[in-house]
Amino acid sequence: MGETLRQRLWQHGIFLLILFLVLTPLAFLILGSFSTARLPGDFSLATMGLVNYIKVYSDPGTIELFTNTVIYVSGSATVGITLAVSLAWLVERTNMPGKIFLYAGVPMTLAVPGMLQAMAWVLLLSPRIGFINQFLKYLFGPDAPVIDVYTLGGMVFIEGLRLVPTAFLMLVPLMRSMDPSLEEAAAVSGARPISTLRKVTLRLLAPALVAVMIYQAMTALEVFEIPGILGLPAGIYVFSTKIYAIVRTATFMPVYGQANALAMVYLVIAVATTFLYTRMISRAERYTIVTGKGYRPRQLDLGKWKIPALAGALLFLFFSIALPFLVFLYASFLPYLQAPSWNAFNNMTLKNYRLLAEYGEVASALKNTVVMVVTTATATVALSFFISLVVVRSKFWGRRLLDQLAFMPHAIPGIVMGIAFFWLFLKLDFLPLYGTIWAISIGFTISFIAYGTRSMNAALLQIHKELEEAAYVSGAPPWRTMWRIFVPLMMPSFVGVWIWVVLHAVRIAGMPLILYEGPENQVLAILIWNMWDEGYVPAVAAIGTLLMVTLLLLTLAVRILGFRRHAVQMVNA
Amino acid sequence: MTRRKIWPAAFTLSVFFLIAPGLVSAAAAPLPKATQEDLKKLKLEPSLLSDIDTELTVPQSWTDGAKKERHLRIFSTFDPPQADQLLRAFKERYPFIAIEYNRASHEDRAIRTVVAYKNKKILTDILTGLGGSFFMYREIGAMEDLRNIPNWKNNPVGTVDPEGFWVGMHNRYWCMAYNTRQIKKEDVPKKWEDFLTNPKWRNGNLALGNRPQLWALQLWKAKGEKWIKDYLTKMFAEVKPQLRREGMNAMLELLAAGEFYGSIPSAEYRTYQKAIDGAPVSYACPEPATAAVSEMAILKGSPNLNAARLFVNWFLSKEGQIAQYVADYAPPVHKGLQRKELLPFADQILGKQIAFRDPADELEIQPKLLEVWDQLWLKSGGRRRSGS
Repeated sequence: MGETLRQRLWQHGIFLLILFLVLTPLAFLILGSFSTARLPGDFSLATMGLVNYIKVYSDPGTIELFTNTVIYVSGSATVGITLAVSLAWLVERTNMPGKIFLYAGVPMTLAVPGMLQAMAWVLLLSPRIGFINQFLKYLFGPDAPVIDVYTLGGMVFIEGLRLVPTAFLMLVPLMRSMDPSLEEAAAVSGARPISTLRKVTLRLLAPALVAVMIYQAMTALEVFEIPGILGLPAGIYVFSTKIYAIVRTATFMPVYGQANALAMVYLVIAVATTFLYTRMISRAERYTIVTGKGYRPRQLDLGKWKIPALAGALLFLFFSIALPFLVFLYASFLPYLQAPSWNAFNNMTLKNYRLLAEYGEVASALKNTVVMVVTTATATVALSFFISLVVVRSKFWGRRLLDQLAFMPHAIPGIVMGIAFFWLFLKLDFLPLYGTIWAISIGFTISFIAYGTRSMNAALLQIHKELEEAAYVSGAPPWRTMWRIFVPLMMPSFVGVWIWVVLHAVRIAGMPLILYEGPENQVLAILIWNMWDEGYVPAVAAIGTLLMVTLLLLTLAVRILGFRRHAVQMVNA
Repeated sequence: MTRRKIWPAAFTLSVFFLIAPGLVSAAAAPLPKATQEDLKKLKLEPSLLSDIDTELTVPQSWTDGAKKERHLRIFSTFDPPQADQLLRAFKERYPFIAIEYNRASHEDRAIRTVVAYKNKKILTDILTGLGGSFFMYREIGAMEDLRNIPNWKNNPVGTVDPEGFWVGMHNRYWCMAYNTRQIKKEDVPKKWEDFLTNPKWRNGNLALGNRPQLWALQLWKAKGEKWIKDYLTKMFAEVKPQLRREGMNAMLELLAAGEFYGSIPSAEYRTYQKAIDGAPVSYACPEPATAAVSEMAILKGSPNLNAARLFVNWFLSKEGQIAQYVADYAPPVHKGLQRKELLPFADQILGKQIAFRDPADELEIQPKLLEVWDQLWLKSGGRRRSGS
């Protein structure tokens, strides 16, 4: 009886904690949208009204904002999925040579944060000074066509590239485990390879593809860095950047309520997308393509297209990893920004790397980043594990709700979650959290538990209850069962999630930009963002180069610890 | 001792005691090593700082208070290596104060600090460069009165806030910078009207930053409302400049890279730094030269108030102003240091009519200017000014 009571207590404890951490900031977000006070600190129930809604939704720019967001999200998801499907198909279902480069290389693209990728492309495709555009002018004269990256097309292209590795990791196992009998039947019936791909392979994959696409669209919807780097200078806004622009002003006191009002529609879109995603996942189960039969998928002979296919695949790797890295490496040695030339190479300097050593802010941002990512990753693993225990291993009345609560933050963009937590921390000022590194850690932890719980749910389902029951019958107390059974068996999942969180927390700027107050909680992503914004391009290149190398090593660790398995769990959970 | 011997002895002693304090003062207060190096670097005579001890005399309670506080936090625009250079002499004079320096963008300095202040959190003790955002601080009474700072008197009229809430820390000449590979000497504008008449600047070759208050406000005052409205209308409609959202420093980086041929506004000190780095940039001030001062303020309720007062007083002294010039080439605001050798691109500024922005202009003209500017800016495809 005592044991049951204790179990109920901790189950309720977890439930209430997640309820508080997820719903309280969102409640403040909603309340704040009605506040007519400019700052959260001045909020009171007496100053409520619809003025923020009227202001933001009567703005003629809001329709353009909707259009831009739809084009950006659907466009980048389409580009990302198309590339990912093509690459996954090439490595799993064809006899293209050099597959190992793709197996190893595509996940490595995760090592290039979207923010740095966008910055690298600015250096390459800025209309006048982009290295590629300057080269085109050199080749074809001053009237050469210009490729402008500061456009919606540029944003779609780069976000599309960024979405490829996760989609690829999700699609490869699906392609690998598909029963090839239908394809073979099509081939025997005389269908050409392309029509077999179109009419059989892709149709079989359709539900899973749609689920992956929705997941990727949610990711694109959430992303702030790429539209921030490429869209803001050209005045092309999507929701996340518009919200940021409202709160980041220099000559006026920001009107936070307007940002909240705008975030509401974002919230609705995100929740609807989550609903659709959940539906698709449940429907996908009906289209079983992995059976108990033993088979080996047939590989399509590409014939004379082998080499062009490999070249195309390597071109993707070149665009995604090599080019951004080389551009940053080159710029990091420049005394000032300039296109590659003999003169530029002659004037190269280590000044920017020396500056990093002298720049006190870099050291403090690095320290803050390490503290933030370690606490975030550890808290995410711990919290996700306990949530999953309740969801998967208990008969707690609210376990389904708890699971949905844990998943919900994934559908809410970081910048919006940032605003929500900003209100929460300012209003609950008895908690000295605002302006600290812990504020960012809490925000990130809540955002990442969606991924953490998907992984943990799947991993826990694989551990048979017999083990737990055997320990219980042997008289082991719950903590010993936890320590001796769950922890060792779950260790690969713990480490996988931990590294995944580190990789993501270190690169995301959206939420930290809102929760950042000053040097005390400045992290590396903010430092890079601010230095870029202020024109310290070669110094940013130096930090970016070092960051990419570090992330590359971490990504390698993820590969070794079985990231692929987690990605599959994510789509199947 | 006889009376005949007493009188000469008494006279000698009297003379000694009369001149001794001067001797002690001259001999007992050597300049900090950093200051000696600064003077040597600029080839300035040490006698320039003969009155430094007087300038640095402050109430004993400030020094005692600062010794208890032991800390000082500064938000400013110096790059950290420049701040290290600037602060060397101060640290030698006041070794008991540990300084935490942070560079921050205008938005971070102005907005985050005020948001935190309203939340009863004081992020910094000293804040600089609040141009355009100062009114928010005034509204909430977030500034300490600086009129009791002894070196307040060193600043010329118009470079301090009449109510004492800020004091000018250096002069700024917000004119234009150009790329020397793309603009020949004969194309360098001599008057502001030259931008309208010289086709070289048209079709995106000129970039405008979204900070009209740094230069157009002075022209409004010097040439009148009608002139500036006509001028800006023609500038947007005929010259069709690139409308840039970046900060002024980022614009200079883009200028060096060749994104545009010239940029408005650009400050003399930043352009000079970039030119010293070897970037192909130079600076020009069309007449009238548009000038302003950058503000320095202490946040009211600062936990390190005495240390902050010591710092502001030192900064406004000749020693502080020279240290600042050595650190980042910002022209001193101190009345006694208005010299050609302490002004980058002096040939572009000295001898010209100066249009100066004083605080009254900011309050009176700025809102009207921003209204005109925003209309033209948005009509020409510029990014909306947020949060209005």
